[in-house]
Amino acid sequence: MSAPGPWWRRGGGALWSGCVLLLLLAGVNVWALRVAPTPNRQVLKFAPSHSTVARALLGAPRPIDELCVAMLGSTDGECKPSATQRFRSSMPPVARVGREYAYRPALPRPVTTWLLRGQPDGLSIDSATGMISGRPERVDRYDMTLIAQLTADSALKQSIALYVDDRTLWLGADRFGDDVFGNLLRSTRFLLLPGLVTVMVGVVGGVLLGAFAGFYGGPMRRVLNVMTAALQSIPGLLLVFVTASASDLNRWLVMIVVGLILAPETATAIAERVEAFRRREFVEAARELGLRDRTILWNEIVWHNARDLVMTKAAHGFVYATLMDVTLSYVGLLDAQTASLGGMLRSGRASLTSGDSSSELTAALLGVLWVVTTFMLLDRGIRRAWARPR
Amino acid sequence: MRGLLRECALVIVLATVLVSIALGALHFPPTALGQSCQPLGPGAVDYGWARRTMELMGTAFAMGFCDSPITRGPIIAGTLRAATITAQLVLTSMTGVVLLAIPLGIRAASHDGSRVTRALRQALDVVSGLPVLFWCTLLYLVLARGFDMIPGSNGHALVTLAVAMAALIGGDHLLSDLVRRVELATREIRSEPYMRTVRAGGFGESRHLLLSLVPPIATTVMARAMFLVSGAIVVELLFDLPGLGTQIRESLGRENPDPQVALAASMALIGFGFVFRVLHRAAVYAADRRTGR
Repeated sequence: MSAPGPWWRRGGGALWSGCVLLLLLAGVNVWALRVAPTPNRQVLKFAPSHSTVARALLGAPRPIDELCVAMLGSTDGECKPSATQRFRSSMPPVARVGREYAYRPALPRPVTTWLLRGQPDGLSIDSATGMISGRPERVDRYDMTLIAQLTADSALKQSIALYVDDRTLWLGADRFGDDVFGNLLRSTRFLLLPGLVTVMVGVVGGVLLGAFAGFYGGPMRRVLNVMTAALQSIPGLLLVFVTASASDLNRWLVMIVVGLILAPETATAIAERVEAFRRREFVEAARELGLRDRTILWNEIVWHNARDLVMTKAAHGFVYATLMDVTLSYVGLLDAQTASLGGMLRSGRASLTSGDSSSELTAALLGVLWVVTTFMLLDRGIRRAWARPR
Repeated sequence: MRGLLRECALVIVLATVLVSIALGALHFPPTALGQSCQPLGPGAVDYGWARRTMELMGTAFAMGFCDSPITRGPIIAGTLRAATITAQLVLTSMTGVVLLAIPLGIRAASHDGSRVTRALRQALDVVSGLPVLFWCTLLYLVLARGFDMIPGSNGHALVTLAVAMAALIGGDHLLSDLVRRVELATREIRSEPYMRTVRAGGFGESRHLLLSLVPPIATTVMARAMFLVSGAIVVELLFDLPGLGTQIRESLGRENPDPQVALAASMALIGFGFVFRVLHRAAVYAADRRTGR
């Protein structure tokens, strides 16, 4: 029993959340068309320096603390990782060129002298307080060592990489020094349009075919049955792979094929629904009143009794097309030069394997989650909104 | 039975023709084709799409596959090896789904309306609604970041298999659909007169319940088995497992694609479809004798 009220209220939170997420996706899509690529800095690859939680999630490199024996001035003594004596703070790993940078290390015990090695020009340390401050002058990666002399024969050492950059990178940089957020933004261009092509081919074609086959039956229905069975026997991924290879990685042709794979399934579902309704009393009554078959089929049966199914299939079509696009980009069967979620997944996985930041993989994963959740919520909301009261 | 076999034969022929037409569109060198498996030489004229399609169909129906470096020997033997790995992935994940779905479904039917059951349904809908690709990547990230284990690399074969299984079981709606089916079937079976007799006689109902649950579970699982095959292909691609998906990628992703290898792998997948179709019909027949007549 559906709740009373207009359809937009019956859809509930799922419909509203789905609509908001879809609008956001469309907005980001438009933004992505206007945004230019951020300049590449080959030497810089880092996770953002935001909160601790974000750093844990995005995999920022952790500083290495070591306790050294007999560290006197510039000569290193014997060092080993320390579990008990550690710094209580870690240096922000990103600094901007020409902007003020300040960091004061925290240690639970008194320090006689502070020392800093490998710092960029413009940055200095106060040997009494340990305060590091200044304005870095040049873009580069600096492997720095911060030394706290505890006693005459022992010192605590922290090694950390400082990235001095002149760009604002919200999600850090990938292993090639490219902006992860910019890549994510540009990859959203291929989240809605391919799905739209698939839905136009698969759902519109499937609804037309299924409605006629279900209403008139006969050979059309039998052909539909055999076509559906044949296409369901071949994994869709295989046909899509072949199309991508044969069409020189043409994304739009691939999406048309994805639509053609979806069409028989949609057609069968619509045909079954139409068959269930075509012998009902209201259809007979409409015929008696002189309504044409076309009006009965499209207005009385498809629009009033099968539109929820059509919308469900459209939502599935969007998700299926997006996942196909991601999988093909991941495998390298779509244009490798264009930013895509699949490409980000592949590159992020390689970063992870080589021990770099995982921000790219996490960002791509969240992108996939966003699309799937949007259409899942829309599907649920529309089904609730258009459910017929019993 | 005869009708089913006729239908399956028609479907297999149609699917093979479809795959041959699709593979015929590839611009592969003429040496890759021909019944004799002999290279045609550098001066050979490139075929047109129609001829390539006809040649591929001939190869498929006559089973005249050659050797290939991708399969390291005869294509048929290599394809069978790859098919074994894909089948293992599919069957193991199928078993996992069934073993999870039965207790969860029976519990949901026994405690209908409780807060835990409602939460379980919601959680399953959300978790199971996400695709295999998402779960694979997430588990990969967690294992690599949290435990310093890279699935798919040497020395972590068991971890890779565990991740693949978890992703296949968790993704693509299969688990949530099956739990719901088990829940509904359990309620129906418990209200049957013979189950009331069993309870009145003081016997345990578990054995009868589980036996009666076999047909609805088998029907649902077999109807969705091809989704598991698609999921297995994705898992193979992500973790470089040497199954049919990897074989297809290797044959198509080369500079000079080898259509025979892709065709053989496709035929193996069509064979999976055939087996699942027959098993689905058998399950439907067992579930309702009248439908099978």
